[in-house]
Amino acid sequence: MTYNPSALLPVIVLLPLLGALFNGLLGSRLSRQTVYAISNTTVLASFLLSVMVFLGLRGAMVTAPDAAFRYTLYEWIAAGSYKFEIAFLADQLSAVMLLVVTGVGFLVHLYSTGYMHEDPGYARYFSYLNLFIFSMLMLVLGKNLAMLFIGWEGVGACSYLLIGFWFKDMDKAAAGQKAFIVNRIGDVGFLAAMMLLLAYGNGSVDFDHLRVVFSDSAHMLDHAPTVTLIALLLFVGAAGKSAQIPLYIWLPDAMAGPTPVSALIHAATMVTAGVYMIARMNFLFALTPHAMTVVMMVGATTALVAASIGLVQNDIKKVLAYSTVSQLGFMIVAVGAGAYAAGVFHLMTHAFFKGALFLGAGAVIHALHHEQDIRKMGGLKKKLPIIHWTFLISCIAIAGLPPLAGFFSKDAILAETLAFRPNTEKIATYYGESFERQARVKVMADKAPDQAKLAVAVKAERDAYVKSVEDLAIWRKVAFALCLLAAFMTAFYMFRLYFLTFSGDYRGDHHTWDHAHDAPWPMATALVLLAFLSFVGGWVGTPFFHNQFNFFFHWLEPVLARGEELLDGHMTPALEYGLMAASTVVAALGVTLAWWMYRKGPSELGANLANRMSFIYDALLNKYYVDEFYDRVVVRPLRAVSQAAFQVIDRIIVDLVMVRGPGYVLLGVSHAGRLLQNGEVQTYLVGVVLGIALLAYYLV
Amino acid sequence: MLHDLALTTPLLILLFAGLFTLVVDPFLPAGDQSRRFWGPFNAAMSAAAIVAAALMWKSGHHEMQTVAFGAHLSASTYSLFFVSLVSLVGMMTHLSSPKYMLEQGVGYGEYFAMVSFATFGMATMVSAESVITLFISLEIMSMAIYVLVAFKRTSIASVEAGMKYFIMGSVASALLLYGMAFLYGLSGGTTFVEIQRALVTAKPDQAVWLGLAVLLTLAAFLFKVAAVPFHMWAPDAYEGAPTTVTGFMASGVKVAAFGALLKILYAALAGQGMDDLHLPVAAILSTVALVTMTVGNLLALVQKNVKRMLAYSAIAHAGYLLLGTVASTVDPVLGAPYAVPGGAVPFYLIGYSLASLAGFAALASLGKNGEELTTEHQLAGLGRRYPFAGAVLSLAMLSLAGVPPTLGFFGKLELLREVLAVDNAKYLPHAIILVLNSVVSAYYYLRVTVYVYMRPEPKVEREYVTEPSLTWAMGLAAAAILAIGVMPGKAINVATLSAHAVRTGIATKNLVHLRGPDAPAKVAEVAAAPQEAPAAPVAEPAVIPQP
Repeated sequence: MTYNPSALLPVIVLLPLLGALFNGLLGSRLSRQTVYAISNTTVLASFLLSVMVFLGLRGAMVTAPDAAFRYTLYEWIAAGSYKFEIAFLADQLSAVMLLVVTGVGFLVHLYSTGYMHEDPGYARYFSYLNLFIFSMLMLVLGKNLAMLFIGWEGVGACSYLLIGFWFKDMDKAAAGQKAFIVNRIGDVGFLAAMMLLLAYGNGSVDFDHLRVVFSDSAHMLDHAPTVTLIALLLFVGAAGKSAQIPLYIWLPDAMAGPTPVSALIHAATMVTAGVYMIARMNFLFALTPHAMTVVMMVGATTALVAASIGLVQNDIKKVLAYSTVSQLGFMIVAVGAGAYAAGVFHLMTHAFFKGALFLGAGAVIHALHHEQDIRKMGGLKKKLPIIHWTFLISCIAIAGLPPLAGFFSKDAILAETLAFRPNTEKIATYYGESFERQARVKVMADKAPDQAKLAVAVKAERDAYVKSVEDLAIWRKVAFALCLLAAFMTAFYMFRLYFLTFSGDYRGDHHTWDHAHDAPWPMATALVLLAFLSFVGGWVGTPFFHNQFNFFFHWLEPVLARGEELLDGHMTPALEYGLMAASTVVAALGVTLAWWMYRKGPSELGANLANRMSFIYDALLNKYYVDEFYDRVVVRPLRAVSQAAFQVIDRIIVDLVMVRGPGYVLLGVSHAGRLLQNGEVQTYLVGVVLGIALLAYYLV
Repeated sequence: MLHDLALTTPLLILLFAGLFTLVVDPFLPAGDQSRRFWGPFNAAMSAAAIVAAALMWKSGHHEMQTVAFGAHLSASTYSLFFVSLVSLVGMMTHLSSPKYMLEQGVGYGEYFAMVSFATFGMATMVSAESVITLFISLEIMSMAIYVLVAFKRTSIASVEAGMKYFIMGSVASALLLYGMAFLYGLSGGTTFVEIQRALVTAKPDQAVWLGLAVLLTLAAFLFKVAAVPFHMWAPDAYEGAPTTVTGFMASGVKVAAFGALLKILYAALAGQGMDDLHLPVAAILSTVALVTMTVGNLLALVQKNVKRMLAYSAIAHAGYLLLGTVASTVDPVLGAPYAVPGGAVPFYLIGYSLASLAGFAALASLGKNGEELTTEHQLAGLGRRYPFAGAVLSLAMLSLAGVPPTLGFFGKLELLREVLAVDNAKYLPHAIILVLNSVVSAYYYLRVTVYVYMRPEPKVEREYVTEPSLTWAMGLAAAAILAIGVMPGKAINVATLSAHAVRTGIATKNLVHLRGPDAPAKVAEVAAAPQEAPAAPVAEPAVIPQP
C-alpha cells in the first residue's frame, strides 16, 4: 500500500456536510430525485472511502501493528498553553465506528427514500440526516476530546431537529426539547471533565497526548480521587448521550421522530457515542476501578429496568426504544467491566440488528398507515413476507440465540464481566508517587519525618487503596446476575413483540389490511442487508479456540492496549462454554415463554397475570412513574425557583438596579456631554488649545 | 533611481490611478452613467497595489534593500502591511461609491481621483521614513479628504463639514510642522534614523525642547486619530460628509494615522520603548486612551443619527487603539534595549477598518435619490426589505462591539493580551475600563440591529441603492470579518510580523553599534565618519515566535 489514506479523512467528514448544505439551502427548489441522489451519494461515497481507509489501515498494520492515520486540517485555537486542532484520527476503533456509521447510515438513507416518499419536508429531512452523518463522523474521527465534543453537540442538535421533525405537533416538538435538555445535563459533566483534563494534560486534550499522560505516573494531579472524578464526570456525559439511568428518559420519547431516524440515531449510532467515548478513554477509566464499578452497575441496572419496562409496552416503537436503552446498558456494563472490545463488538452487532428491527418496525408502520399499536396488529407474516423474515432474524439475533450476531457479543460481555478483575498491582504502581505524597503529608503532620515511619505510612496508604479496590469484586457478580436476568427479559419481550405483530390473526380494521403492502425496494434492500449482517456479523468475534479466530478483538487491541494492560483475568474453557450454554438456555427460555403466551395474539394468561399483579403491571406500564417523579422533584421545583429568581434577581436587582440604573446615569451624562459639541469651530479650537495645555503640563 | 521606483510600486500604482482618472475623465462621453466606470477601475488599481505589496512582502525577506530615496521612504514589511490595508480601504470605497454618488447628484470622475490621491497619501504616509515625507504625504491625504468631505456641494451640511474639517485640520498641520521643526533642531536630521540616533544620546539640557517637540507632534496625531479633546471636528465632519467618504475617513485616515504614529513613536522618538524618552509618554497615551474611549462611548449613546453615532464610535476605537500603542516588545532584530510595538494595533486596525467599511457601505445603500436615510428610525425594516444590507450592517455592528466570532472580538482580545503582557499590574485598571467601555458600546451598536430587525417597517415605500460593486464591497468585508474571526491565527501573525519590522526599513546597522557602554564614543565615531548612505541592507528577517 503506497498511498496514504489519511488525506481521505477530511473528505469523508466533509462530503455529508456538503450534501447537507446543498440540500438545506437549495433542496426546496430541487426535485425529489435530485435530493435523494445528492444525500445518498455523499453518504455512499463516505462509506466507500471509509472502506479504503479500513483497508489501508489493515495494510499498514502488517508492518506497524499499532498503525493509525492522523490528519491535521488546521490549528483552530492556540491561546497560551491551550491548543486545539481541527485534526482527525483513524485508528482501529475509529475505523470500526467509521464503517458502522457510514454503512448503516447509508442503508438508512436508502431506506428513507422509500419511507419519506409522501412527506413534503423531504429536503429538510435529508439535509438534517446528512448533517447528522457529518457530526457523527466528527465525533468518531476527532483526534482530540474537543473535536469529539463538537461532534457530540452536533449529533445532539441533529437529534433534536429530527425528533421534532414534525414540529407542528406540540408533543413531538416537546419530545425534541426533552431530549436536548436531558442531554445538556450530561454535557455539563462532559465539559467539566474536559476542563479537568485540560489542566491534567497541560492544555491539550489530544487522545494520543492524554494516553501518554495517563501512562506516566509522574504528575501532580495523579491521585486516585481526581482520576475517579474525571472518569465519573465523563460518564455523566456518556449517561446523557447513551441513555443510562438516571438520564435515559429522553430516549423513549425520542421515538416521536420519523422511524428511520430512530433506527439511525436513536439505536445504531448516536446513542452509542457514550460507549465509544469510554472505550476511547479506556486508558483513563482503567485507572479507576471505583468509577468503573459505578459505570458497570449503572449499566446493569439500566439494562434490567429498561428490559422490565419493555415487557409490557404496546407501542411497537416504544418496545424497541426500551430495548435500545437496555442494550445500551449491556454495552455500558461491558466498558465498565473493562471488556471494552466486547462493548464495541456489541455496539456493532446492535447497530445491525436494532437497525434492522427499527427499519422493520418502520416498514410495518408504513404498511399499516401509521398504526403503531401491536394490539391492533397480528398475522402480518403472510402479508409482509420480507419484513417478517428480516424482523424474525433480527429478533433471534437480539434475543441472543446462537449462531446469530447478538449471541456472540452478549456472551462476550457476560463472560468478561465475570472473568476480569482490575490489576491492582499495576494500578497501585501508577499511583505510587501520590501515595508517597499523601503519606508524607500525614507523617509530617506528626512532626517526625523519619524514613522508616514514612515507608510504613506509604505502605498503609497503598494497602488501603488496594483493599478498597478488591472490595469491589462482589459487584461484578451482581452485575452479571442483573445482566443475565435482563437477557432473559430481552428474549421474552422481543418475541412477544414478534408474535403479537406477525403471528396469530390480524386485529386491526380491514381497510388497512387490504392496503397493506410489503416494503418497496429501497426499504427492502436496507432490511435484507441489515438482517444478513445481524446473522453473520457476530462471526468476526467468536471466542472459540482461545480467541484464536476472534478477529474483532485482535483488531481493537492497539487502541485498548493500555486499558487491557491494567486488567487481570483468565477465561477457562469451562467457564467460557458453560456461560455460552447458560446464556443460550436463558434466551431459549424467554423465547419459549413468549411463544407459549403470545403465539396466537394477546392471551388470557397475560391479561390474568396483569390483573393479579396489577401493582407491578401498572408500574411497568407507566415506566415506574419516573417521568412523573422527575416532574415533581426536579422540573417543578426548578421552575418555581426560576420564577422567583426571575422576579427578584432578574427583574429588580439585575434589570432595575444593575442594568437600567447605570444606563440612565450614562444616558444623562451623555446628554450633558452633547452640549459641548455645539457646532462652532471656535469651541472646538478651545478644546484643542486645552488639550495642548494639558499635554504641555505633563511633557514640558 | 530605478530601484527606488521599484520599491515604491504600490504607491505609484495608486498615484497613476488618480492621475489617469483625472486626465481621462474630461474625454469620456457626457452623462453621469459613464462616470460609474471609474469606481471599478480605481478599485482594480487599488487591488493591483495590494498585489504588488503582497509580492514585495514575499520577496522582501531576502537581502533586498528596503529603503528608497535616501531613506525618506521604505518598503519594509511594516510599510507594506499598512500600504495593503489602506489600499484595501481605498478599494472598498471605490467599490461602494459609484451608484451612491450618482444618486447623491455628484457622480463625477474627480471623486474617484480624489479617493485615489488620498489613498496614495495614506500609503506614502505609512511608508515615510522622514518627517518631511511624513508631512507632505499627510497633507496630500488631508487635502484630498477636505475636498471629499465637501464633495456634495449642493448640500450645506457637506460644505460646512468640509470647511470645519479644513480649519481644524490646518491647525493640526501647523502643530505637526512646528513639532517637526523642533525635532530637526534637536537632531539635525529629518529622517527617523537620524532623529533616533540623536535622541539616544540626547543631553539632559535638551529635555525641554524634546518635550515641546513630542508635545506638538503628539497633539497633531491625536488630532488626526480624533482623540479627546482633539476630537470635536469628527462628529460634524463624519455626519456631513457623503456616507462613502465617511467610511473612507473612519477607516483609512485612522489606519494611516496609527501606522505613522507607531512608526514615529518607536522608530524615531522612543527607541528603547516609551520610557526611553524620560517623558511620561506611555502614561499620557494610556490616559488619553481611557478618556477618549469613555467620552466617545458616552456621547455615542444618545446619538440618533447612525453616521454621527459611528463618528463617536470611531473616537472610542481610537481610544482602544491608543491604549494598544503602549504595548511593546523587544526588537527581534536589534535585541534587548530596542523596543518595537506588538501586533495588536495593526491587527485591531484590520478588524476595525473592515467593520467600518462594511457598516458604511451598508448605510450607503440607503442613499437613494439624494437622501441620506441614516437616522435610526429610517433603518426600520431594512432587515426585511434589503436583507443583505441589513445583515451586513448588523454584522459590522457586532464586530465593532466585539462579539465573537467576529474579527472585532479577537482584535480586542489581542489588544488586551498585549497591553497586559507589558505590565500586568499597571495596566489592569486600563483593561477593566476598556472592557466596561465595550459593555457600554454594545448598547448603541445593538440598538442599530434592533432597528434593522425588530421595529415595524414604515408604511412608505423605500428604495435602496443596489449595484453589483456595492454588493461586492459589503460581501467581501462581511466575509473577511467572519473568516478572519473564525481563523484569526494567520492574520495575527502577519500583523505581528509587520509591527516587529517597524524599524527595519531604516538603516538598523547604524543603530546597532549605539548599544552598550561605549556608545558615546561610537556616536562620535559615526558623526565623524563621512556620511554613508543611510540605506543599509536589512538584517535577517525577524523570527516571530508563534503565539
